[in-house]
Amino acid sequence: MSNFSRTAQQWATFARSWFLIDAKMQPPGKIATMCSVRLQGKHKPIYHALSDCGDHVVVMNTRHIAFSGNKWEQKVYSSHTGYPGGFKQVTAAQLHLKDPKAIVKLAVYGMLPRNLLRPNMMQRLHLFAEDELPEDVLANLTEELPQPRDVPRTLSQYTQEERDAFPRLWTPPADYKMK
Amino acid sequence: MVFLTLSCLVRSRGPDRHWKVQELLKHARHFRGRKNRCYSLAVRAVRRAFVYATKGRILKKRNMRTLWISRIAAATREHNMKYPALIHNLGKTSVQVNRRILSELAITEPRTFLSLAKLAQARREEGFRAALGDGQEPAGVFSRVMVTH
Amino acid sequence: MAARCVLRSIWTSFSEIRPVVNGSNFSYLTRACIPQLSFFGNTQCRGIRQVVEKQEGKTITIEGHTVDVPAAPEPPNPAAKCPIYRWNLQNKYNYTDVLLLSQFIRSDGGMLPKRITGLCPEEHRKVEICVKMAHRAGLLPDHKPKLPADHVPRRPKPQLNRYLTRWSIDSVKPIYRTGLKWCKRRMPVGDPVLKNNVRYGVKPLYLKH
Repeated sequence: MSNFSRTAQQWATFARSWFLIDAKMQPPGKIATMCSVRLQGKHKPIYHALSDCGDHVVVMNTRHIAFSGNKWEQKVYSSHTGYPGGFKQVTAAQLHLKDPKAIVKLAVYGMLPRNLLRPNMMQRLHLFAEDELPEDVLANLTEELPQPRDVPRTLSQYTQEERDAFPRLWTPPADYKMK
Repeated sequence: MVFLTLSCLVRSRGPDRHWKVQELLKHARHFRGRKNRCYSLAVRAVRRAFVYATKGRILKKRNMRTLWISRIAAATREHNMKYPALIHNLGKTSVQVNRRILSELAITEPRTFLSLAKLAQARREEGFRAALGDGQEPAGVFSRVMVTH
Repeated sequence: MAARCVLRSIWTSFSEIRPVVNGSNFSYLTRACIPQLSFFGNTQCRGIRQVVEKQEGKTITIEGHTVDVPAAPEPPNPAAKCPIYRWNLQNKYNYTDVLLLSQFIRSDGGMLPKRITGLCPEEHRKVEICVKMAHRAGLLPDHKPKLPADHVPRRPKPQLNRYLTRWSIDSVKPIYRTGLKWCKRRMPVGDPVLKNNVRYGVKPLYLKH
């Protein structure tokens, strides 16, 4: 064996990295899939379920997530306080207004394996409602992950050149009063 | 066994049962509770444990394979491929490395694994080109292959 | 007031007029896709007419010119009546294609009638659904009905991002009972009218979540 020390390699292998995800206009389920893979460590070749090799994930802009369909009104989050008559049901919009981090947190929690390591993994998930991160988190960040959904541009975000370059599919008749 | 008196010889019903009990308790010594010392409890637990062990020998093979697959999948994602594409194309190029070795390569020899991933990627693109014919698509057809490459 | 009456007579040839008194004595207003508030209504949405305003001394002359359309590329299928078929765009547009959708809507966001646009009924319905989804996704922020200036909403609506929204927001109710495993109530995403759209992926379309 050479004088090459394995200690540094060991440290580098098992060091935890910090990922940043921008949840702006992203569906919470897709954000949660990315998070749960990183929290479990399933993105590493050294993965083992019991070795606790997951990474830290920072999710910002959780207030600006986007649901598809009518899920803001239709999706219902249920809980029970434990007391008689304590069954609570709130829609996603109500829950989001009450706590902007709750939807992403519940989505990630549901995607993690149901074992004793789940609380530890959840502790490694850091949620922020806006895009302002504290200094100590910013200092740790190593990598930013790409957004899973590509956000479509609004009409006002297109430049005038792009609008002019788009062919006009039809011409209104000359005497039509356009509103 | 040596019996000094006749009564002892009469009272002794032979050594077999004692040793039989010890033989069984040997497997139950690490159990929790009275199971590790009371024969009638231990015998049930040991029988149960042996059934689990038999099943576990089959399950272990299955679990190990899923572990290798998840490790290979993680390593493949690092090289922007997916696990099914890698395995399928390695089979096409007749690389006869099994999943256990592949996962060990991914951990201990990442560059070897990278070369294998590149090989699979090259085979994959070759397959796409062959599917396209001469690389030109018929007019008016816009296929998925054109988008991804 | 008299000027307005005179102007009203030439409204048949061009739709909107923006009486803007600028510091310069000659202002040449081209159209803008973004509707702007004015006395008489909105500015022109299409790029075919212009308002020319001249000031000579104390008299302001406002004229409407019909501008020649620049030569557009020839559509691949010019014989068809429906614009979508003329450009071979069947099943190829979605709610994200706002440049296409904005050609078929008024400045307040409603659909133009299909006897004007020439869309066939099927395509008209698809475009209408896409326009609705684009509105709900907030992709057409400037095409909204004008509210009076002193309008104050009774309850401020929370800003919630959404996309592929099929039903109007006030019409849906929460699904408190999802039902049994084999007959669950699903949440519709997108619209089945658009299910024949061209997709360049292997993932199947999943309309019910």
